[in-house]
Amino acid sequence: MRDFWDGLPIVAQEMLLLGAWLLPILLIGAALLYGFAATRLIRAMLWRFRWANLTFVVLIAVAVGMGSALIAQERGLRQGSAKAADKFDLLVTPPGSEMTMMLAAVYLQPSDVGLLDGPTYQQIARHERVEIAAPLAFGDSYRQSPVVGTTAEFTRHLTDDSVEGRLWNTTYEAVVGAAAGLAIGDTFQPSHGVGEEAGLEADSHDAHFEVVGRMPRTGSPWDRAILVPVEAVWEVHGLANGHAPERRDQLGPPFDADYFPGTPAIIVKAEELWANYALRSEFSRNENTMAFFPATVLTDLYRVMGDVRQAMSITTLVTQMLVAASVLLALLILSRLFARQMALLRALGAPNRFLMAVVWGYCAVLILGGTLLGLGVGQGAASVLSAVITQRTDILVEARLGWQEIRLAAAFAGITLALAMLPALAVLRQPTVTHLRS
Amino acid sequence: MTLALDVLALKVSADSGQPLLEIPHLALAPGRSLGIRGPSGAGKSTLLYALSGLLDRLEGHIGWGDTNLVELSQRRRAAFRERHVGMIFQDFLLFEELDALTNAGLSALFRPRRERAGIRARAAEHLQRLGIQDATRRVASFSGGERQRVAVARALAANPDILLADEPTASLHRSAADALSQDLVALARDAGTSLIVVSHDERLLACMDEVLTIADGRPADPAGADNTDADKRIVDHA
Repeated sequence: MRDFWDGLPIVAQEMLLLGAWLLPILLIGAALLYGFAATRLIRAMLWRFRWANLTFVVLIAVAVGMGSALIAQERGLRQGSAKAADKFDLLVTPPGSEMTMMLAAVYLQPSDVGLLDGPTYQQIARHERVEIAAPLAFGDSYRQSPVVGTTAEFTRHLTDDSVEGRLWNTTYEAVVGAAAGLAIGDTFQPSHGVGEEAGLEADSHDAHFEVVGRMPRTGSPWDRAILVPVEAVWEVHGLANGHAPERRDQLGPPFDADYFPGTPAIIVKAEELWANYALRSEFSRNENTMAFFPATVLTDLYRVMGDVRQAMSITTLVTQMLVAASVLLALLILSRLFARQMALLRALGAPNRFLMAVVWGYCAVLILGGTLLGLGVGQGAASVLSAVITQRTDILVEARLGWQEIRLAAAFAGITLALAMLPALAVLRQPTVTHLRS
Repeated sequence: MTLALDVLALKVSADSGQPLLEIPHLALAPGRSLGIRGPSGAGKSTLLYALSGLLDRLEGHIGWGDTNLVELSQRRRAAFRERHVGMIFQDFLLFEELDALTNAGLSALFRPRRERAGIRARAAEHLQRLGIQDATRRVASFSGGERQRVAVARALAANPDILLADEPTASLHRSAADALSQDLVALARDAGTSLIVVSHDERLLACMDEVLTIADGRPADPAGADNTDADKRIVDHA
């Protein structure tokens, strides 16, 4: 059985799970409504209490929408952050917090971190299995864009070799991210510092850079970055530029260990995927270095977030159930308002099942309408939240409602519609003659 | 099919056990009409609802043909009403959001599919006969007289053997009440339906074949009961 289940396509599994939640509703609905033409009465009741009904639908929609938006958002953020780290196979940094180093190197969050020296860089760069060993240099910015010093080959790797324009040929040329707000041909003068501490006129460097290339959108904080030769960053800070004086105009590796000012992080790409593991193991043994996969750090983070997600899902469901309970309570009270109509139906000889069909059908329209509208609200809220998070973090978050949210909504609808039998049964207990004579 | 009414030693009690109504004997031949009158609170409507099988605390015998309602469960009483009884109420009890035809054919909504078309056709026919020209109009826009006519059409649409009416003219002005009284009696007579009406309206009661006066939960003295029409036969309640 397990093998059969595992052998099914994901879509089929999801459809079956969805069906499992919806089947009880269909069975209850079929058992109550079969053989009757209750639609007109349900429509009449919906119209009679239209404003109260609309309020119920909106309440349910908001509860379902906010719950599904939050869960979709969490997933979108996870996928967006993972995608942003896609090009960063292995990071070698000074020992410290992997999380801090990952935030600094992958997500370009300003941090005070140590530096790896020239011999260490040399050892990594000369390793037989290393294809790319790109030093990074941070600390400057232009407007809201961090200026990142690196190598042309890493820029190629980051953009899959699809830079619009060209890569730099001289020290003071730059390639900008898609959201950096600069165009090819623009010039700029970077300032010292990043974020709030940047931007003071007095902190501007003397160097003037010209934009010669533009990266395609990557959906990562690197979209806002300005990439320049790492030598340029070292030079504007009055440091050696990584090369011996006789090769001072050289850009990119190899660097001379004696003239290497230090780097907070080296992005390493191995020739083969498996070699990354060997490199990580090798550079982790060295007491001066720490090597890690950003993906692993993210996985650990997601594991913690996974618990949060689970708690969030339960909280969401409980919140939705509380809303549903409130709505059902209100429906129980509201059912007293149409007690006379129900009494009339009984006087005309309508069977109990018909009365239950009318009341349950009425509740079902409100609950299903609210749930479906809630999925729409959820998608809308997720889109707005995604836009806000993307704008604030530069991580492209694309939150779309998925099977998980649909399943959650189906579970909500299934449980609530089963509970909707209560007002339907309550109508049967109302005294017929009392209501006919009232 | 027509059903004769035969009530014997009927006792109706409140939930507290307090006696509300006692009818030693009441009979009505199939297709005849009976008016029930008496002061407010005398038990007229209680008798009407007892005869419909809507009350729970019943003792004795309420026979409609071979069926004793007292012995039936609520479910079977509902089934009996569905098949044999049409009811009319003082304040119409219509679904205001529905049109006249849907209101008049209301019982089609819970009757078997094969019977629905017939009920709707009869509803349309009765509406027309009762002077409702536009049956597709929502009843919320109707006058009181028109609404009660829709209610009468509803009661007759399922072709019942018994028509029970509780103060059907009480919410109408005089001319509307007179017109409705005539139509109600004529329709019941034409269809061979037994008609039982609770009313304070002497003109309506004057149209009935028989009149029963209730006072303090019991049939009043026969000699004093029928003082509206000397030709009318006082029903046997002794």
